[in-house]
Amino acid sequence: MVGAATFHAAMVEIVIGSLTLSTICTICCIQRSFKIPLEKFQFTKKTLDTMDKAALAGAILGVLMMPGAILTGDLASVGTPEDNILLYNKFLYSGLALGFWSAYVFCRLRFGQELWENRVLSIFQILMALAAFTMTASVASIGGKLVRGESLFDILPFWIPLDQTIVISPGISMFLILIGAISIISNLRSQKMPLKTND
Amino acid sequence: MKNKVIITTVIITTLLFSSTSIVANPGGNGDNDRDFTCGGSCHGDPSLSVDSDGIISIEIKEFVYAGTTTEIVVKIDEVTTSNERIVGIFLLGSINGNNDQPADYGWEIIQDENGGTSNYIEKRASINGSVHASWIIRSPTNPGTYNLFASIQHGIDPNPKGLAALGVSEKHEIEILPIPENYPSLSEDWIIPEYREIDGDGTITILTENTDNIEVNWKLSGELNSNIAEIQEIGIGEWRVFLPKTIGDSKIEFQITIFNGNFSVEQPWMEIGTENERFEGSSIGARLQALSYAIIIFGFVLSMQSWLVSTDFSDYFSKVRSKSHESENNDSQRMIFHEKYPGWLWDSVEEKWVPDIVESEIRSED
Repeated sequence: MVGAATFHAAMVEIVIGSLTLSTICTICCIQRSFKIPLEKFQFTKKTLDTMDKAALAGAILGVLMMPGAILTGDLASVGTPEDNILLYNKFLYSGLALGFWSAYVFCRLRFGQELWENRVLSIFQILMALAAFTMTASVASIGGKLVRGESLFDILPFWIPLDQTIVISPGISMFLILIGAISIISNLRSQKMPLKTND
Repeated sequence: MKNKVIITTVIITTLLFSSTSIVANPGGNGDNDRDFTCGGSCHGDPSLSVDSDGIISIEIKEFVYAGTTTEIVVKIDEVTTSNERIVGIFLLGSINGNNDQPADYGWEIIQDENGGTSNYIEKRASINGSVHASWIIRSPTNPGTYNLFASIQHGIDPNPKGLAALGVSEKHEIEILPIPENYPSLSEDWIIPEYREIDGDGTITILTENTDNIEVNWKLSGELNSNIAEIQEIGIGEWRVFLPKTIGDSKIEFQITIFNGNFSVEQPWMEIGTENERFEGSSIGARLQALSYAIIIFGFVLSMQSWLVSTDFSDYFSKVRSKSHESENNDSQRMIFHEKYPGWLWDSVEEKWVPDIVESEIRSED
């Protein structure tokens, strides 16, 4: 019999691996909009196209596997979010990571590869990937704290407050869900704007 | 080709499922009342364990009056552990394998090293392989000779077979003497509270017997100088002691001295903390909050992108581009082409010939 913890470990490894690849490739794609001064580190257009596709594929795989990782993590956890701030934070950071990565995938699919020809959007896409990866790494770090009592975040020179949290009532959460849903629907229904490229 | 894929898949699947199922507890089992045989990990099975190299010693008075409080210190030195350095330490009444906890022989644990009342606790060893633990225990009420043992379990490194290391101390005999008449002591009904409530005034109530006065010294953990606590007698053998509240994980150490006339008995140092602020999260709240965060972030990013797409940043970029062109023009004025030396440019600032990279790239493309 294979327990939820084993499935959770496998799924987390897939999620972290694919999202790390996606983040690295996304950062490299900045070269589509900004020519970097060091010639040795300049990629060809073909390489950048491949990186863009790898970033998208990694993000899609991560987003698809993330709900499974959250579900198995929930089943495998010893305590409950009621009595454990770390576990509560793990849920919140998972939500933030899922939101950022879903938005990343959606925006990339919405604008296609032309996204990288627009400097503002490409910077925004990279910032989004970095924020999403920070959230994902925070979730993984909380997992390490829960299981082993330590994580790689412990050696960072700055402090991420994983043992503190903000609790909002379920009623306010429902209200936020409603606001978010209205925002998404109104955005999707608005007319698609032509994308301005660098040239 | 199709057969190759199927065979490879079958081999990988077989290899994955044929790996040994090993359940270890690299993060420890947690403090609890445990018999030695299992210790929460079933390491008592000789096929799952090896002998520990740790040197275990016990420090306790040779005789104790029946029903009185004393301290027992277990020292483990030169122990080789896993990278986690977690050592599980048992205090045992025997090594029979079951029903071997001190409570089974009439001892009562008032406080363990970690502030609880467990006979099994976990601590991290120092880098040089030392770990000490102490228990405040109340002796059995029946006089006689009693035994106490200390035992340890920990990981080892390297540990390819996933074994636990086990160690047991020598038997330590303690003589329990009949308690003298009117001997001042802590009440049998009294246990140190693990924490003081955050909303309370920080006081603790101490119950004693054959006592006409008590004195309590307190200090913060690690401090050398102690302070005298304010005490209020609220009944016969019932005392309210005012101790400063602590914040977070910090704890206060305190020592009770019990008087009966001119005779006094000093109790071991004990410790107490203050309850952390209550966490008011709920499971459904966490799930809803996570979902709301995901949707809000998704909506926010979509809105931001729509705004970025509709906003014209061309003025800003044209300024950046004009600056870039200026620097390019300066570069072109600096490099001078000469017909006699194709493939080379004269750098008027450095005053030397440099290869014309653009021309050489065109040639290589041809």
